[in-house]
This record gives sequence, C-alpha cells and structure tokens, in this order.
Amino acid sequence: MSKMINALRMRIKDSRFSLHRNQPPFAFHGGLKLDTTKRALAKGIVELPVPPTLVLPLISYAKQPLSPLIVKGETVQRGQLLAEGIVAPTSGVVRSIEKHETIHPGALSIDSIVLDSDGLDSRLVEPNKLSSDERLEELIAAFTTDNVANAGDQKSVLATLHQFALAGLGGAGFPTAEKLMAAKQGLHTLIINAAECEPEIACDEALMQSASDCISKGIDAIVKLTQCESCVLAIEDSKPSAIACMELSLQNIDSSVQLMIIPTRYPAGAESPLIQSVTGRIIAPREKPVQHGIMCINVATAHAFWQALNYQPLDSRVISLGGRAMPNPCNVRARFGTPISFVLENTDNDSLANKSRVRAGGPLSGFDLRSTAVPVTARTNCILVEPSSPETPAQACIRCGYCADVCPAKLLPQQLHWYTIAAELKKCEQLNLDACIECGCCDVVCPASIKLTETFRYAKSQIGYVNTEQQKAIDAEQRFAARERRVEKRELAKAVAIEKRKLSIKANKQPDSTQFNAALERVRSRRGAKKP
Amino acid sequence: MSIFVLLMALFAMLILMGTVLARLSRPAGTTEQSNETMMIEKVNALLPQTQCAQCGYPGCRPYATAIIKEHALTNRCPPGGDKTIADLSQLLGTPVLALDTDCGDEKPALVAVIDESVCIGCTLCIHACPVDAIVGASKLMHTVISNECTGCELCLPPCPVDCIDLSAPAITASQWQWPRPV
Amino acid sequence: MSRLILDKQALGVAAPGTQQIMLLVILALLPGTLAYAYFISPGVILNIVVAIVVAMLLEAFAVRLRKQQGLNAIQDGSIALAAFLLALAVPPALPFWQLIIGVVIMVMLGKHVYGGLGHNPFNPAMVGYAALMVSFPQTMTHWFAPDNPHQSGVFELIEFKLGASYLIVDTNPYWDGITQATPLEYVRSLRLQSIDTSDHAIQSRFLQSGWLPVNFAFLLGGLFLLFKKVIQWHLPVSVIGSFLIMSLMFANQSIPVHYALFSGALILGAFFIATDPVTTASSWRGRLIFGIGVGTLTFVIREFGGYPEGIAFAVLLMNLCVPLIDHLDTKVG
Repeated sequence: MSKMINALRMRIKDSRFSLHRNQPPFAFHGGLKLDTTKRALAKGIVELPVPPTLVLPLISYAKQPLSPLIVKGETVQRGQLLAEGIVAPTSGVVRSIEKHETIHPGALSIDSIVLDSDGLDSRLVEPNKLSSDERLEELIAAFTTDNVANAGDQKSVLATLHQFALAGLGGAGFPTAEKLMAAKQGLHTLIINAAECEPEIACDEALMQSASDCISKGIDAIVKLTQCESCVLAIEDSKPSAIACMELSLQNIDSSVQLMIIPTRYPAGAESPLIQSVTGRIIAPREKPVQHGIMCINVATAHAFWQALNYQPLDSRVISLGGRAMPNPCNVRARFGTPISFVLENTDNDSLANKSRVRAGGPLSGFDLRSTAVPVTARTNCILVEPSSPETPAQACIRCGYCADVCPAKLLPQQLHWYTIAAELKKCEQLNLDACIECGCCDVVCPASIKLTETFRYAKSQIGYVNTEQQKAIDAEQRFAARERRVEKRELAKAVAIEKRKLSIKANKQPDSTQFNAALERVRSRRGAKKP
Repeated sequence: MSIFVLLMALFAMLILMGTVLARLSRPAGTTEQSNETMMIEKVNALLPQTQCAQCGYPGCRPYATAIIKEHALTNRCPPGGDKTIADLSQLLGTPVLALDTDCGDEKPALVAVIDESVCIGCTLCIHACPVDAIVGASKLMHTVISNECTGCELCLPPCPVDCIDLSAPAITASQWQWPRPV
Repeated sequence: MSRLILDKQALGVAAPGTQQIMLLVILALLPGTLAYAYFISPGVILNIVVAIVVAMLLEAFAVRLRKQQGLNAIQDGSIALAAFLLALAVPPALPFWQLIIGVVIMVMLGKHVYGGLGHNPFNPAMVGYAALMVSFPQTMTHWFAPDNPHQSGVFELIEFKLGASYLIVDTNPYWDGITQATPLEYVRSLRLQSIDTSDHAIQSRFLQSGWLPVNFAFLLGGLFLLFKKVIQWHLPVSVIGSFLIMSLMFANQSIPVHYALFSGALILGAFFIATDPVTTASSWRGRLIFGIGVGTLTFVIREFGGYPEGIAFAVLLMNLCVPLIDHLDTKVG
C-alpha cells in the first residue's frame, strides 16, 4: 500500500509539465516514460584513432547523388572539401570512388569516396586565417545584408556555410547550411535541442559534460548570426550534471539563453513535441517550423558550428555504444567514414556473442545492420549490440486504441494500420500519415505486437512511389504530346513546301529547268569522269 | 373537375419549373461534349502513359478517347496490368475483365539500355521513341535516359544492329522502398 | 529486418499483451461471479465452465477451418472472455443444450465467419445472447428467486439443466417452484398491468433481491480495470451517465433511479460488454458517442420496449453504427 502511495507521489513530483496554461514547458500528447539508464555514460568520451581506410558516401540529405570535387589518386588534406557538404576527415590519398555498402535499412551500396589515410592527419593550410569572432562578423554582415539583389553575397554565405560541412547531429542529418539560410527570413525563437530522449543514446549528454564552453560559444554565435529574439536550451531533467555544466558555461557568453528543463518523456527530443513543449505551438503536418519563426538546432551541431568557425569543419562526431550485449559501453568520438567494425574493435567490443545483432541508431529509431563494414556518418548517433531474440509474432489487431493514446503526433495508428493493409493509401494521406515521426511509441504499447512503425514506413514509401510514378506518367505524356506536335509540324511544313513547289511549277508554264540542267550536268560529268 | 384540373395544372407547372431550373443551374460549359472530354481526361489519368501502342491505339490518350467514344474494352493495356483494369472499372462502372493477352503480357517495369559498343548512330531508335527518351544524333552515340524511359519497347525492332536490351532499372537511394512488413 | 522493439521490459514500459488483457478482464469479473454464485445461484459456475470449454474447442476447430495455427489463435483468450460473459448473461437454470447452441452461434456466427479476432463487427457474447433470447424466450426469462438460492441442491440443478427440454418446461415442478422473474421483469409485468411501480413495497423487493450486491461486485471489478488502465473512463461514464440522464428525464414513469442502475446488466454492460475493444468505436470521441447510444437505447428498450433488459440489443445496435462513427470521427489533432 505504501509502495503504491509512494509511486503516486513520485509520479506527481516527476511530471513537471506546467499546470499553468501560459507557462512552459507544455505537455505534448502521448509519449512514454522509458527506462533512461544510459550505459554509455560512465567513462566520458574516448577519442578513437584514425582508421587506415575511410569511406564517405556521396549522397545528399535529399538522397540525391553528389558529384565529387576530387579524382582518384588525388592527395587530400584534412578539412578539404571533397563534395558538397563533405570534407576529408583526415589527410591521405583517394583510393577510388566506387560503390560501397552504407548504413541503410536495405543495406544499399552507394557511390562513395574511399580514402586511405597517410597517418599524418595534416590539416588544410588556410591562408589569411581570421579569428573566429572576425569570421562570425563576416558571416553576420553577409547574412543580414539588405541588398537582396546581391546574389553574390548570398552565394558566398552559402559557400562558406557549405565549407563548414555542417549537418544536424541529432540523427537526421539535415544540412545546417540550408537551415540557417532559411532562418534569414526572421527568427523568433531558437531552440537548442539538448533533450536526448531515446534510451541508450548519451552522446549529447557526454558532450555537454566535457565541452560545455565550446557549446555555449557555438550557441552564442548562432544567436548572433540569426538575430533571434529568444533562445532556449531545452534539456531533460534526467541529466543533472549536464544541466549544471551548461548553466555555468551559459553565464559566460554575451547572448542570454534560457535553460529550460523539460520532463523526461520519450520522444520529447523530436522536433514537433519539443517545439510544443517549449513554445506551446503545434506545427501543422505540412508546415516547417521556420515558417512560424522557430528553429531547432541540436546541441552538438552548435558545438560543431563553433569548431567550424575555428577552421575545423565537421568531420567527426560522438557516438554512444550501448545495448545489452555490448561488452564495453562507452561514448567515442569517431571520424566520419570510420567503419563500424573499427569502432567496435578499438573500444574492446570486438568479441561479440555469436548470436547478437548490431543496430545503428537507438532502440526505437534505428535498424539492424547486415554487416559492420559500413562507415559512420553524421547521422550515426548510436551503435547498439543486442542479443538475438526470437521475434514475437504479430497477432490480430484488437482495436484497443492504446496506440492513439501514446502517439505524440496525435495520429490514429490503428486506422492507418487498417488502411495500409487494405492498400487505401489515399485514406492514409488524409489521416496525415506524413506527420508520423516514426518514434515507435505505438509499437511499444501494442498488445498484439504489431509492427506499426514498419507498416507506416512501408505506407509512406508506397505513397512516395505512387506519387513518383504518377509524376513520371504526367511527364511522359507531356513529352509524348510535345513530340507529336513536333512531328506534326514537320509533316505540315513538308506538305506546305511540296504544295508551294507544285503551285510554282504550275504558275510558270515553263518549268524552272536551270537547277535541273545543272544537276544533269553534274551527273554527266561524274559519269564522264568515271568512264575512262 | 375544377380541383382536379387545378391540381394537374399545378403539377405540370412544377415539372416545368423543375426542368427550367435544372437547365439553368447546370454549370456553364457543361454539355454532352465537355462531359465526354472530362471523362477522357479521367481515363487518361489512370493509364500508365507508356505510349507503347500495345492496346492497338497510337498512344494512351487515343486509347482513352476510344474507351469513352467507341466503348473500347478496358482490358487492353498490358503495362497498366490488372491494377489499371480495376481502376478503370471502378471509374466507368464496367465489370472487371481479365487482361487481353492478345495485346501483350503484364511485365515488370523495365528500361531500355543501349549497348554503346555496338551502336552505329543510325537514329532509327530516336525516331521510334514516343517520349523522346533517347539522346543522340546521326553518327553520334545514342543513349537512353533511364528516368524517362517508359519501357514501351518500341525502340527494339527498328535497331539494325539489335544493340538495345531491356533491364530492370537500378535502384537508387531515392527510389528504395521499405518492404511490406510480414 | 529493422525489428523495431527490442524488449518492452528492457525499455521499462508495462505494456500488456492481448492475452494478459483478456486475463485481467476475467480476473475483474471474478468478484461479481462469486457474488452471483452466492446470492443468486451456483448454476452460473456450471454455465461458465461449460461455455468456456465448448467455446475454446469450437474456436480451435474454426481456426483449423481457416487454415491457421490452432494453438496460437486460441491462446489469446478472447473467446474465453466472450464465453464467460455469455454465461453470465444467461439464466443459471438454462439447459446445457441451449447454452451450447448459444456458444456455437457466438463462436461461429459472432466471430469466425467475419475472419476471427479483430474482424467481427458485433460483440460475440451479445450475438449469442440475442440469438438465445429470440429462440428460447421461455427458458431465457426464467431466473431463480433470489431469496431462496439454496432451495435447490446443486445436483438437482445439474439434473435439470441436463434434462430440461423445451416441451416439459412448463410442467416441470422443479422449474415452477424455483424460477421467478428478475426485478426488471417483475416491474415490466406490473407496468403492463398498469400498476404504479413507485410503491414502497416494490422498492423494498429490490433491496431484498440479491442483484444489488452482485452488481456492486461487478462495479468493483470494473473500477479495478479502470485502475489498471485496461479500459478507459469514456465508455462506462457515458453508458451509465446517459442512462442516468434518461431515467431522470422520465423519472415518474420508471423505477427509482438508484435501483435501475443496479439492476439487470447495466453495470456489467458498461464496464465489460460495451468496452470490448474490437467492436466499440476507436477514438475517445467515438466511444463517448457509442456509450451515449448504448445507455440511451438500454433505457428505451427497458422502458418502452419488449424486453426486460435492453443492454444486449443496445450494444448490438450501436455496433451497427460503429463504422459510421469511426468514419465521421477521423479528425486528427
């Protein structure tokens, strides 16, 4: 009995969602309270050595292939731009540009730069090095120029930002350059996302505990760059030492940043629930937060921005190694392009049990890998090793509705599931399937163990496929119609020319024989030349 | 008698009024013809736009026109397959027919690929392609733009050196799809 | 391939599976069942046992017919729960052969002809009950007098249930001596004779009837389910609330409200029958509408309709409306 009362008391104490209507943090719908022990945190950040070979997939965030700026056999320095948004993580020689397996749910092979490191790790020499403050001022000046017509300025800002090679380090990898450029239209609230909500992922927490000064300077720089009216650092209440470190370091910067502690609830760190918690605003499914004057930037990205201002473009990241079958859980800093097998070997994690699964991403947002030869990218925030366990077979949906209770996007997963099974994709679209953030909450509570998130991913890609096919059909029809018109025009022109010729022949009773005679002469002379 | 006549007159007037109002309230431009045009557009939107002429008509829009105007059967499109037949049946209210195998077989979507080592640059395939998906000029290399190829196979017969093959399109990262969960 | 969930226990979330939910509901029914067996008749236990056994055998057979793995499909316990509810709904003296017919209809026509678990639009227990009600009106409306529950020995009861045929019901002395109308039936018969039912004598009859503690025990079970978060508050509150409002509106024509609430199967229906997740509306708004419909229809059928207890037909009628309710309520947040 007393246990129950205590549990009740803890629940009331823990939930610090504000009771006031107009005071953040606001509650978001659904979500789950998960076990947030982060095994990786115990030992700080381990610096991983540079591997002998690095693989850099040439693919953009929008899944389009990138063109490399270097060729096979070229020697590159650390920090040198190899493609749009990709810099060399170390110095060495480009061995080849070939298809290589990547971290992808379908284990796709994508054209990648294979770099052999020369062991020197020498950086690109920058002539006319400015201090980070001067660099920032330059950026700000170009950023806030009122001369809209000056496309050159815009381009140079974009080029500089691209050289930083920044990508969102929260797991999605959205190119930060584009995000910052979009914020030029006027930013009201900047939210620094330090709410690492998924279990096992502790890379941001470790970074905050060890590099809080650089993070704060990075936040300061972004605030000055975007000239936002207010800046909030949102962090979960289960990270007390990180909160303490950040609180201290935020006092030493010029900009005023509000440190907001939000209750630990999955998925509080996803963009939509986070914006709702911090500002109370709900972003509609097809809108972008920047349209509301809000922008979210991951705390590690802010750190990377500061490093980039100091001529250290983004070429490595902190990765959490966790999972119940990981022998030695820890946080490591690895260069992009490092094979996962190298990461595991150099952290005393190579003796994996025979029947264990390696997973990229968190327990709810990640997927299993088929091989560990795949390279680390900006999106790799966590590597888990889990014991292989038999899958619980999915049973029939009993329409209990628990899934809708926990959905942070306030969707109806049950209806989406039934409609996907019935291949009614239009109805799925009407039910805002694209607002699904694939958090996995519905999967956790489903009594019938139905793979709901996988179903929605399948439905989304089917809808994408149908839309692509429809677009292709429309394009094909247009090209066909254009070709028909062209052929028709040509036929018509020919017919008109023939008619004209006929008419002209009729008009001059005398046939125009000069051309004919000339042709006849040519033929005769050729024949004459042939006959000896 | 008078009441009866009055009622009949009232009735007739109501019918007349109803007809007049119905005529007036029809949206502008809605005639028998434009109804047909609308239906042709709808049918055309359901066809795969391969422009292969396997249905016997020189393109997808002519087939759509034939379906509406000449009541051609809806089962003549092999690239569209059973799905297109089902969609058309739903739109037109006609029964679902099996694909007419005289027109062709339903095959998975393939794209044409020119073997560049054999191509002689004769432009015959370029003239044959209904959607201008082949790039090239006389005595210069010809290449099929995979994204634009509809797999209609009209370029295969004209090629004098038989250098065009059909193959499954390579899956790029943007085209990869999640498999259906079991 | 991506196998999203590793282990729910590892994530620290208490997410019960289908089987656990069904077992929890059966557990919640036990207090009411025991009160029933004590205050009304132990025949209900016989009914429950027979119904569950027959139902599970039939389901294994039906699943085999549909070419699925027999053991897996009956492991979820949903048909056991439905059989339990059917056994609670029918009178304890119902002959076994009639009960078995009801179970057959429940399993086959109420569930498997639609595709099994999750696919049936109608509440299977109520389908079985309605079929029995319509087919065997005499035996389905004869209940034990609650003031002498132990008058009949258990053996005589079993003997009766095994042997009673429709033809000999009226002449069977056992039957005549023991069975009696439920309070609701009694009230209805009085009203048909135009007797005022707000008489104090009639009200005291309710107090003596064992149905009050039985319904109270079911209420406790229902509150247990609410506490365990197996069901949500929307359905019980809307069913009972709408019934309450209706009876307050028609107060002078009806039995006193507090008696009406605790008689018949309203509590059982509100917490256990209307909350069957497969056949009720999907969203909370839909469930409120569903519950209001059930409560209103129950009152109407009891008050103005041809049956003493309306919850079964009310639930079935609202099951008919569920696709429409779901379709209308697809607004997302």
